[in-house]
Amino acid sequence: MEQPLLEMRNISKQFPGVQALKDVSIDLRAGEVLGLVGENGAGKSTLIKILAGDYRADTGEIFINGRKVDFRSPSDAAAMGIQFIYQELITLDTLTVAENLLVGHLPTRKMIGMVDWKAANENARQVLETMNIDLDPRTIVGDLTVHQKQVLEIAKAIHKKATILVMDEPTAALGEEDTQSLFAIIRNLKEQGVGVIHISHRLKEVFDITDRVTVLRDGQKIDTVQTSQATMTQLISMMVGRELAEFYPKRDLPIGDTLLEVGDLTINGIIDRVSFSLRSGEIVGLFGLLGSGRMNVLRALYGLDGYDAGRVAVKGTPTIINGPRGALGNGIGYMPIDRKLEGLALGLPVSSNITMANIDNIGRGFALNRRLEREKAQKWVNDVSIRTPDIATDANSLSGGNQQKIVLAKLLETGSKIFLMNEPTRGIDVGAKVDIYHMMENLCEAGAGIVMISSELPEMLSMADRIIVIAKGKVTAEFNRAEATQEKLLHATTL
Amino acid sequence: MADILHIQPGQALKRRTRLSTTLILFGVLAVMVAVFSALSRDFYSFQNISTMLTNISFSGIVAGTLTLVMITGGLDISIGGNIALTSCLVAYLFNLAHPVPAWALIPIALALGAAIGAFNGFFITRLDLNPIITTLGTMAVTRGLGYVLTKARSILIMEDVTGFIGRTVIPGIQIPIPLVLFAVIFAILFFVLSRSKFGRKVYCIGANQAAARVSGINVRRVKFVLYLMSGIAASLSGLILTGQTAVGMPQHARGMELDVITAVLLGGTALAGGKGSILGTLAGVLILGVLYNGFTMIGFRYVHISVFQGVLLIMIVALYELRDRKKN
Amino acid sequence: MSNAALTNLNGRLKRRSVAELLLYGKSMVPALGLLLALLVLFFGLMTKNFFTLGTFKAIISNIPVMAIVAVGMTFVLLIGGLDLSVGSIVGFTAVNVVLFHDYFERLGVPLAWLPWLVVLLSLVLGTAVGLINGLIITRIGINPVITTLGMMALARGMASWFALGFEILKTGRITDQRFLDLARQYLPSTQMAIIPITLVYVVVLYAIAIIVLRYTRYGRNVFAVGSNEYAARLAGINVRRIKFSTYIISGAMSGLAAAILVAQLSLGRDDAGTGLEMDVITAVVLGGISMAGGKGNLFGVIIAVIILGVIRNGMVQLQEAIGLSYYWRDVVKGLILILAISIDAARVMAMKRRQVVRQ
Repeated sequence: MEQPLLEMRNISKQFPGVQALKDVSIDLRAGEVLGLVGENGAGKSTLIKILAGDYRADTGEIFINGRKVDFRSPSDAAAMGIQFIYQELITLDTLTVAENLLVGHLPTRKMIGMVDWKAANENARQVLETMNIDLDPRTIVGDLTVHQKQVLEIAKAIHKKATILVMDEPTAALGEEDTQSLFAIIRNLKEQGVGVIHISHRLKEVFDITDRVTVLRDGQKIDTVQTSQATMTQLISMMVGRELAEFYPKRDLPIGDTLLEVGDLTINGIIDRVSFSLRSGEIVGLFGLLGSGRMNVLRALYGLDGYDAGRVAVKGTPTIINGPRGALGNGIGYMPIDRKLEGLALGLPVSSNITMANIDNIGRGFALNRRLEREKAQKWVNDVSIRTPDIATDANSLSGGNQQKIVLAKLLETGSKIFLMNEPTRGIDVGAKVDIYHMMENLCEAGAGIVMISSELPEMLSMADRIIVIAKGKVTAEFNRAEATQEKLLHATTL
Repeated sequence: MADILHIQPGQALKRRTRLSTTLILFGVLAVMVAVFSALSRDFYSFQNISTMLTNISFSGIVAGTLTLVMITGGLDISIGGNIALTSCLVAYLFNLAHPVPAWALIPIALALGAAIGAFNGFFITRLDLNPIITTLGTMAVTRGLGYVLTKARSILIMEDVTGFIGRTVIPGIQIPIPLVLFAVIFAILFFVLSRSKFGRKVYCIGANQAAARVSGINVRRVKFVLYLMSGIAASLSGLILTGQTAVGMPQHARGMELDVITAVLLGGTALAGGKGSILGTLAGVLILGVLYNGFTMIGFRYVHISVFQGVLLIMIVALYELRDRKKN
Repeated sequence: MSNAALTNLNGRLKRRSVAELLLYGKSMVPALGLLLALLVLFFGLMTKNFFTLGTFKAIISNIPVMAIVAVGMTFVLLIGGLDLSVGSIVGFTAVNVVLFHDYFERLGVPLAWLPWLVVLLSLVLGTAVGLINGLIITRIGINPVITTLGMMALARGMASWFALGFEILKTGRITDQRFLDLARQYLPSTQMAIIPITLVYVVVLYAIAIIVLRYTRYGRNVFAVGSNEYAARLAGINVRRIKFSTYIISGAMSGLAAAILVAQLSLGRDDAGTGLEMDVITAVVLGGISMAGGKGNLFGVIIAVIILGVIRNGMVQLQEAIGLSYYWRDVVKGLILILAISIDAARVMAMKRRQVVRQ
């Protein structure tokens, strides 16, 4: 039997507190597209990072064309012909396509050593042609669409003689047409014997382009199946097949008046007529895949980004959200997805972070009432169970879970009634997660409403009273808690 | 209720480092004063100290507001041009055929400073332009206007009001007015930065501008106000200088930007923003003032000092950089 | 792409994109050419003697120094850096030019070699200062603004120091005709004096620089580093070395310009080049070199230099014609600088805005 192009055998990897991968084996044959699917946290990215040489596996081996390899650094993988296309495209936007393709080794005229642009453009044209890519090598890359840039990255990888291409959520930012165009290119690569690992949440596409699919769940490989012989239901149930464990089911609380009404919210090219409402005491979940536009909705509601059309009403009154200050003024608070980027000032103490969104109300007049600030900070540290040596400790000394709690405390301090939470338990340990769920429940009991984005299905199903599914910028389904299941949610993302 | 005074070891180290830097700076200051006094008989005289402190007040006022600007990661190198223009304008108005009354000169000068500050603030906060280049342009514009106004000549202004600001000494205790202004302004800035809501916002912006924005802080407005303040402070300094020298000329305060920036950086404010304190700047301003005065007393000339300035600036930043790197 | 205009009714909506040509146009050259033409027209109409040979000569003689330093500054800006010390390097080198000349003249170096030796030494001196800048910025890692600000004071201070210490600089006129001719000759010959030789220098220098930037791997690497440092590093480019080299080039160009300046003026004063950094930065940014790095070309820069030269001379003539104070020149320059970076910022933002993604 022919040697597989790539084989990863019995890969295990543990991080402090979590077993990311346990005895995972996959193989990739030349000229095939292998889909790699699984939920967030299933272990896909860890596996890929090991392949890329960013991490080292605790146990297990990697074989390329039957030969054992040992990747010690990212450049080792590249040397073996493995190229990665990530979501953050690394392009030289002010330069041309040809130059991006050939950066670092532009062709020169033999005699003088000067760059031969004619040859460069010609080389680039050839490379692009063999891949059936319609792109003029003289175009400035900054003028290209995201899709075209991605295609360029692929061309670059092939030009570097890649035999194995790993693509991480390549269609996340693409429309239908661009996706098909990308698939045409991938099929072309297949014919040339390149092996492609296609990581995606979009199951419909997985069926479209892959030859085989490997499903990971909770760090383990569940199975690898022939795509032609599998069904959507089968895949989904493999992905989620565990028992919905004792997460933290939100108690059913009395639902009150409408707090927030969103009507036909539109950002041209991004989200299209998104409508939903939020009532006092309830948690509405916004579920969608990467690139579905769900974050754009939340950010628009908080005034971080602008929107092109739509109506927003807070407690029945139509309002215009003018930036974060306007949102806060309307009683809307936001918990960002990246606390280090937008949530906390790591160099400042815990107390300063907690009060950051409510500075004007701490003390009368110009002076900041520091005693009052200390009291408030201490109160929240106690109420939200923030584990810190002292309220004067700098925020970056705390663990991820406690940092997230600080962000939550900051929101609570503002006295908001509407909470927009973007992945509230991202990157934190189980203990802290439970604490946060507890707080969310308390908030609802006190009459607040929460709009929550989460990509963890169990979390979404246990915490949200209603779940709105968004795919490609549009609302595709709405389920209440009783009727929602993981399968239905995932299915709705394919509509 | 947790005992707020109870600080964990790691935390104590960091707090001690911040405090100790300032203490070290004041220690250096004391040593320098001692050394110069020993080396030059005239150094420790009342006359010299008074002159020295007046000079320090002149650049110190601007250093104070610049500290706040730099904490947010910005910079204002138009202060020299601002000072020059202010002095030219004041002298010009005073010497008109229908001279502007003396009492009006001060508000006019401060208004000019505010206008320049607003100009900077607009381009930096509204159009998001690079503060260094923007204020470089403003520096050219203001100093150029000074040349236009005076046709490149100096204009004499022997006047009570500006003389008062620049030269008068409070009888009895013999404290020069500029020093009083300096002390008052520094006290205000200290209060603002460490105790006021506005000052807290300044620190938040410096620590993480994105988080500050998400937290509802009006980053744009805060920065605008800071540039406004910087402009007004520069004008005030301009008034002091005019009073001291009794002359309004467009060549005033050339190269002053370097001094002020060096003082602020010496005091521990980071160029990238986030850290900084008024006390630190005070130490920086005093050290530099004593240094320059001391050197002059010993016999160094302006050119030597100028060379030293450049080396000092780079060394200070290098030292802080290396210290931070060791910490990590 | 949003088409909705800003209104109050529907909440906080996005703004329309502005002035398409200026923002999305690939090169600033057409816009600059237009500006130059307009300025020439303006000055021509407002003054009496603008369209004369005298004007042409005056402008041409002002340009070389700025043009030469602008080449160096271009390299620095292309990698996203800044060099505020160029003016002081000119001053420092100018002072040393006089010193060198005097020294070698007394040594008895044959007059045929002397001018070229001095020019070579100026180049070396400027390069040395640039080297120090580069070391501090790339090896120690200090911010380029602070480093070159400090060097600005340092170099200027040293120039003044020398000026104090050496007698020759006080009386210091260089009278050696061969040296002066380096900057004062005309081509094709003394009888038919049409093209100043400095013009030739500038043209040759720009030609070389344009070729280096466009046709050498080094030049392309400079663009790559400025465009996306991370990507450049991934591609195997030695980012640190490239950045280092640009500061060396900037220093070298400043040194060269100083030699020309001294030859033009026949003296080297310690205040030579004061304010030059502002002029040069204005010219380079106006010429389309983006402060973000990785974008722009020298054609725009030379036109911008000419524009500034025209403005300078035009304002002198304007003073004679309508009494507008010549000192408005600095005000105008400052405003142009701010205008230039505003346009640059708008262009950068326009490009970024097209990258909005669905998340």
